[in-house]
Amino acid sequence: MNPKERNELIDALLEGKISEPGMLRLEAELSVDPSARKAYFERIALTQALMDEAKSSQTRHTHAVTRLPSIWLQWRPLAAAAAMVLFGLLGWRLASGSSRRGGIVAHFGALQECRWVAANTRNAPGDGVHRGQRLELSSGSAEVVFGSGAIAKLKGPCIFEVESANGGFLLLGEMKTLAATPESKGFTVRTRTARVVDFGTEFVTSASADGQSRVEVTSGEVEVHLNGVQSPQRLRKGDTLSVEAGNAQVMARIESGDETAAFRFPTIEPPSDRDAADQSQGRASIRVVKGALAVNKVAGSAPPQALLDGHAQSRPDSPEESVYFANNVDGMLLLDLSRAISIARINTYSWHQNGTFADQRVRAVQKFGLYGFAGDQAPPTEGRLTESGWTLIARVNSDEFFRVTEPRDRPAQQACSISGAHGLVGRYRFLLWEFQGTQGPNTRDTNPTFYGEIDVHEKR
Amino acid sequence: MRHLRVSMDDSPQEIDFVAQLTEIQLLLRLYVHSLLPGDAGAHDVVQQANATLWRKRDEFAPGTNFKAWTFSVARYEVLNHRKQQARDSWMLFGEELEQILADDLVERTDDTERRHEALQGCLKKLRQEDRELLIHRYTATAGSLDDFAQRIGRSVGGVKVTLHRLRNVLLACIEKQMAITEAES
Repeated sequence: MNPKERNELIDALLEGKISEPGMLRLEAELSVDPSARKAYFERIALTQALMDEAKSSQTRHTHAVTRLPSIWLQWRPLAAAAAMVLFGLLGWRLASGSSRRGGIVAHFGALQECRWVAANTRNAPGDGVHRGQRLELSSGSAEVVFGSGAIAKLKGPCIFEVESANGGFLLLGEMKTLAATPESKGFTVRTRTARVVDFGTEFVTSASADGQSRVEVTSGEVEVHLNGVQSPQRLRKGDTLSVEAGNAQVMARIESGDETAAFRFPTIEPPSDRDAADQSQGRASIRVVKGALAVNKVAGSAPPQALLDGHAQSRPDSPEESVYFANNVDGMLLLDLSRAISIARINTYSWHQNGTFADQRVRAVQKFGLYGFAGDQAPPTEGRLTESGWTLIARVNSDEFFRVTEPRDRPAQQACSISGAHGLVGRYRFLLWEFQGTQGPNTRDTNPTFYGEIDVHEKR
Repeated sequence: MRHLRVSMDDSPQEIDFVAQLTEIQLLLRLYVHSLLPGDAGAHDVVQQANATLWRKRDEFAPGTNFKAWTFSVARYEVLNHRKQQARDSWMLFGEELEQILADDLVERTDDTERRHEALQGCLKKLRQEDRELLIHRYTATAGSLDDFAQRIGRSVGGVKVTLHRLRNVLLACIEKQMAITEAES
C-alpha cells in the first residue's frame, strides 16, 4: 500500500467514512508496517492538536481565562490534582455486551465466581477473546463462545489458550465443549498428549499437570489423535479415553458392559482365557502384597487366582466369583508373568449390582494405579513406588470417567482397557495394582471393587 | 463519591505518582484515541482511565514500566467504553493490533508538545478560509462529517478531500518546522 492511499484510509477512519474492505486493508498494513503506525499516530496527534486549537480558539473568542495545556505545563502536579477532582466527579456506568472483530475469535459467555490467576484480570460476559489469549482461571467457571458457535466451559483451576475461532490448547484443568453448530464441526482441543477433534458433539477434556489427558464423550463422536500415530481413536457417546504422558502414550479406555455374563462391551473384548496371564498358560502367578482380601462368613472374596481363570462373574452380585479387599483397605495385587513380555493391552473387568438397591453399584468402580517392572526381582511395594523402581503405567478412576455424581450414573459392569498409542504399553514382567475403594452411598466406609478378571495381552 | 486531591501532605509516593501520571497524559490520550479512532467518546474514556489509574495507584510497582501499566489500565476502559457503543464491529481494530500500538507507544518519545507548537505556526501559514474550515471542523459541536458538510453547504466528498489535503499540508509543515527547530537547538 502506498503512503497516499494509506493516509487517505487513516483520515477516512478518523472521519468515520472508511469502508469495511478499507478497514481490513488498513488494519493489515498497520499490523506489519511500523512506518504506517507512525503515520497513524501522527494523524491522530494532529487531530488532537486541531481539537485543542479549536477549543482554545473558542476560549479566546469568549475571553476565557486560560488554556488547559498552559496550566498543565506550568504546574503539572496541581493540574493533575485538579483533574483528579474532576475525574472523581465522573461516574460512568459501563454496561456489558459488545462484539469485536479482527483478532477476536471468541467471546466470554457466562462467568460464575471466576477468580483469575492475575489479580488485575477483569473479564465480563461479552468481552472478546483474541487468538492466542491464554485464560488462566484459578476457580469458578467461565464460558467461552467461539466464533464457530462452539461453547467451551472452563472449570477452574484451568489454563486454556484460545488458538482459533474453532479450537484451543488445554494446558491444565478441565473443560467441557459443546460443538453443536455446523460451523463448529472439527472443533479441536489440543493437550500435551492428544488432539481431540469433534464431529458434532459434547465432550469433556481434561489435562493434568503431569501431562495426563482425558477425553469423555457425552454425545456424538470425537476423534483423538496422538502424536506420531496415524490412526486416530474414535470415541462415541459414553466413551472415555485417558492418555498418559511419555513415549508409550498409554491410554486407558473404560466402557460399560451389557450387564450379562457374556461381558460384552462396545469395543473392549470380553474376558479371555488366551491371554498371557491366564492360568491355562501356566506362567503367571498373582498374590496380595498389601492389605487383605475380604473375609465374610456368608461369602468372602475369591482367591486372587480367580482373576486369571479366563472368565468374570456370572451374576451381578457374586462375591464368591469376585476378588475384593476388605472394607476401608487400599490393597495391592502383584502379578508375575514369569518373564518380561511386550504388552499390548491390560484389561480389567468388574461387575456389581446390589439385588435390593437399584442404585447400589459402588463395588463396580475401577479405581487403581498400575505399575510395571521388567527385571527379575520385583522392587519393594512400600513407600513411593516410582522411587523404588516401578514405572507408573496408568491411573484409572472410572467414577471420574463416567462423571458419576449420582449412584445411578455408575455403570454396574465395567471394563478398562489400557493400551499404548503405538500398540505397546511397554515391556514388563511384573505388574502391580494399587487399588482404592469407593465410599458407599449411605456409609462412611470405603467399599472395595468386585473384580472378575484381569487379562494381559501380549504384543505379537 | 470520593473526591481525589493532592496536597503537600501527601506521601512522596503519591506525589511521584501524580507527576508520572501528568507526564504521560498526552501519550495516554494518543493511545486511547488510537484505539477509538474518530470516536467522540474517546475524551471521556481518557478521563475515566485517569480516575481508574488513580484509584489503582497502590497497585503500581515503582520501578516497573509506568507507561505499560497505564496503557493496560486504559485499554480496559476502552473495552468498557465499546460495550456501550452500537458501533459496527468491523470499525474496530483487533486486539493483536491494539497490543502492537501499545507497544509502539511505550517506546515512543513524546514529542506531542513540540508538535503542538509547530502546528500553531503552520496554521498561520494557511489561507484564512482553510484555517477556519479546520477549526470549525474540530470544534466539539461539529458533529459528523455529513452534518458538518450540510451545515457549511458543501458536499461530503468535497469537504472530505479538502480536509485531507489540509491535513497533509499541516503534517508536512509540522515535520519541516520540527526539523528546523531540531537543527537550531
